Amino acid sequence: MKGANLKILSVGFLISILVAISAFPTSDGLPSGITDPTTSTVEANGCSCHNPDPTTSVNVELILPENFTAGVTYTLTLNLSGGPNDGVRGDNYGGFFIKATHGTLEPLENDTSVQKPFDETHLTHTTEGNDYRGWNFSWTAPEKDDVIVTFSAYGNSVNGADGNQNDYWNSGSFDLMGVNAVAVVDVDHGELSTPQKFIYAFTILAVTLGVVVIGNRMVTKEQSFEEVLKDYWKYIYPWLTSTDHKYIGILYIVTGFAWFFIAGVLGLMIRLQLFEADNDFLTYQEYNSTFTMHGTTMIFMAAMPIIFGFANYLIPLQIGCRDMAFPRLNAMSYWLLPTGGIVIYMGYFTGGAGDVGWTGYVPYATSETSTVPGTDFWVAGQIMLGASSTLTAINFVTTILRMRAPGVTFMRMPLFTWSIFVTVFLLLLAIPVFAVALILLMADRTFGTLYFSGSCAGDLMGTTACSDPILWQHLFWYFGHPEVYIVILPAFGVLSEIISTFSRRPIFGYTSMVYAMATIGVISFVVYGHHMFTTGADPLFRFIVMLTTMLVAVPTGIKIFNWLATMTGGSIVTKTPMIFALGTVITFTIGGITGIILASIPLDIAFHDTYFVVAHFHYVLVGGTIFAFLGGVYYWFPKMTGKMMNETLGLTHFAFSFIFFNAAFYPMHNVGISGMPRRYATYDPALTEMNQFISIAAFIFGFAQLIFVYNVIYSYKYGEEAGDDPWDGWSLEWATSSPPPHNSFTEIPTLKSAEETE
Amino acid sequence: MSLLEDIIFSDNPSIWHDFGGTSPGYAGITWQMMIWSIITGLLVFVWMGYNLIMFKHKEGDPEHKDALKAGVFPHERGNPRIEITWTVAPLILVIWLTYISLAPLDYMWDVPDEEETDLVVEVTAVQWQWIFTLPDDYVIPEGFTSCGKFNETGVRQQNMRTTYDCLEIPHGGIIRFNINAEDVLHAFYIVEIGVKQDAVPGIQTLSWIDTSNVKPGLYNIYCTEYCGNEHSKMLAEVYITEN
Repeated sequence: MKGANLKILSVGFLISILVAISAFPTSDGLPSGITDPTTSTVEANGCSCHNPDPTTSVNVELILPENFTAGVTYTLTLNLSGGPNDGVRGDNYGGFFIKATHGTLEPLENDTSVQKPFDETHLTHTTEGNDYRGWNFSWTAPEKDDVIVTFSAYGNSVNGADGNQNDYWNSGSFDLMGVNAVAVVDVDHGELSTPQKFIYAFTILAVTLGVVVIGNRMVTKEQSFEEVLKDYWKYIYPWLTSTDHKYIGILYIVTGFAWFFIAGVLGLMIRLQLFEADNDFLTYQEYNSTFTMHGTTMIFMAAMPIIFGFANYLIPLQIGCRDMAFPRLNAMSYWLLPTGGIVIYMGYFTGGAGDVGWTGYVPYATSETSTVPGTDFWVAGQIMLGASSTLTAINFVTTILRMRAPGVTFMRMPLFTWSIFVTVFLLLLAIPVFAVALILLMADRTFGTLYFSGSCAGDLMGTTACSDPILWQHLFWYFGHPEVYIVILPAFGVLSEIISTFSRRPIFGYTSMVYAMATIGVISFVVYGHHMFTTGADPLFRFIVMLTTMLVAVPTGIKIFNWLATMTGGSIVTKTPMIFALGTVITFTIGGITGIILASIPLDIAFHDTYFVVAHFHYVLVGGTIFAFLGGVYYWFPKMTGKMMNETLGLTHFAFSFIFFNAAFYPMHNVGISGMPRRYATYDPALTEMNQFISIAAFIFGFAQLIFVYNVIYSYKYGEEAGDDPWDGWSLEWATSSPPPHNSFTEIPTLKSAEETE
Repeated sequence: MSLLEDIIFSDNPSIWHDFGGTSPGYAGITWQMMIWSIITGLLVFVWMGYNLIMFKHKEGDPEHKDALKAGVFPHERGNPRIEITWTVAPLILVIWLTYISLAPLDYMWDVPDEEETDLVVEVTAVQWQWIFTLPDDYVIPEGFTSCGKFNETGVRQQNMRTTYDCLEIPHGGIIRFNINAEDVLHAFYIVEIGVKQDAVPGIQTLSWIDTSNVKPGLYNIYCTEYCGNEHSKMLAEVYITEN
């Protein structure tokens, strides 16, 4: 019975996927361009073959009267905007072609820029006419005014250089009604942007899957729609209402990985755009939104939720208490996260998500050229996420300070707890500053205040006050640099736990590990100026932050050496979590070294805002944080579910991830040294080979993560029973059952000490 | 250059040539960084490899005397002498790297006064264009025509004193750039020379190059501070031409 049901379900899934694929909007929204029957005439006049496909960045506009009366002659204007060379310089920068279904098109008298080729009905530009972006001509209406005339216009935006490269064209169709014509209502569907296509496709998939799953239940169990929903509601309800730290922890982790998947898709869209120079997979505006959302999502909606998911689940277990200090506040922190995330993504439904970069530098972020209202949604959502993090920080500080079980003194806390303890202090000091800066930015955008915009306002006394755009960078990076450590310190905690457990012995230099983390936390607040070496800030300020940035290498070095010393003389068990941890040490070391290179101002001036920086922070954030927490999933999955994860799949996942992560991100150093700036939608064609290599590797890295998803689902269903302490760890979470009972501990445990028990 | 060569020997076009002679060869910041990066990386990787080979767990290994037990805080391990060594050694290393960064820094930040320079170029960045203006009293040498295009009738299309997305400067001189922005942040980046300076609206920033340190020829200018839709098309050319 069960097998038959499974068969029906899988057939249903297949059908739903087929339906979704067939409903997937294709990119062919534009007319096919200058093809038959007009090709020959256009070619004869030399304004085609510049580019095979139309480009949406070019705008063809035909100015028409409201309607026409039979036999009257009208003067029409065709304007061209967008595309290359959209300025007021140079010559040879535009061409056009227009045809009407009725009436007669003629050049204006004495106008040498427009011609009507012999024996043809269309108009086009002359040699002289291709110095313009706008043309006037006359059109004489037909003898009948009960028809709708359609003008087909083609505009070519030329960059003025020799040859046809980088010239873009587009076309438009314009209807003009006769005074007696009856309009046929025709809804204009318009062109879908690429992100919209993805969102629509996902929605269609989700809806069809929902129909299949619920429909299957209704048919096989002969239940009514309400009964099926009630049945599912039973499973959903606890997740929506729980204040249990374990539920919230898993919610955080799953949400984090879900956003990680979405941001990963955005990252791959970036790589698709960069597959070749001058690619038109995305428009520049879409590309800018894509990297903005990729960065914002990865940092705030993927990395941080994954971290705080683990912290939520593990901190009460590691310090031996039954829940967080403020469970309801904890639930609120969580629910602000998907809400804020959805607000940020709202931009996609309003004509373009925020396009200001994850740093939101002003005055671009306050100017009218950034997306409206996409950027406003970006700001509003970020404020919500900031509130969420601040509440989380308060909760963890209180929990760790007040709710430790007997025996869990400060210097006996597991290192993961220590890392979170340092992290939440950073959060508490950094996030509110960012929230305030965002509120000021919001005021600049919506109320016209002048905190950041760089413009000046005069008062009645005649004095003028100008706002300083650099102020935003100070506020942002005062938050932004500790933020980076907020994301990496918990990874250090995870590595310390895993490496110690799998070396089968205590961590080397526990005390120095704690002090190293605290030192990193303190230094993180005095290094932020290294993001501003090229702004022209005070040289003394820049020199000091160069020194402090270099100093971060010292505590970080201590941690790496302590991990290696823990392994030396141990008995190393090479299970998936350990392999991930060791891979992390390698990639993080590379990321740390490039960090020191970037700290040196003379070198940073060359590398700043190039792909070298992109390579550096992906090595630290993906190679450090994400790899460490993937190891963390393999390590704590048995505790959370009571099932072991599959080793073979785990090692395959690691092998693919590690190899293709390095293949994708290591060459970015070289691309950056060759001078390719970050946030560029196109690049010097000489770098095509490298960029294609990176893109291919990135795609394999992305698809390799599906092995992980499969492993989680497979192991949850068919994994071996784990037992309480499958890895022989020491901290208190291993002293309770897997998964932990409803109240985490049936009785509050006492942490013993090896010194005392002997 | 093949892909593999590209990855192994990345040529360094963007590092300013020796930083005006203050940081040449193996003693200079570029090479020192390279050398110490390799040493540090090798130290970590070799040590890890050694651990994995020598101390891998084998079936039937006896349980270690300080093995971990659930619910018991383990014995503390550590060796103050070793720990102090690997605190002090990196400290000395980073102080050394900071120290050798100073000479090139001094050179780059010592922007010459306008009187000491051979040419002052006013650079204006607007969305999405570079505008270069030469001083009125500057005599443009004969033959500096790279930035002027001629139309069919032989008339020069651009005013040579103000050029768009193109600049021609003499070889063997000290050139100072006064950088302004009209709308949003931009950054002035001469790719092959490694000069980079943000352009900030409302604030004039400065940059300079000594063109006797570089070969005559065509160099590229990119905008490297994100400035909106056409950011990746905000490019310009700079010709360094011998008089």
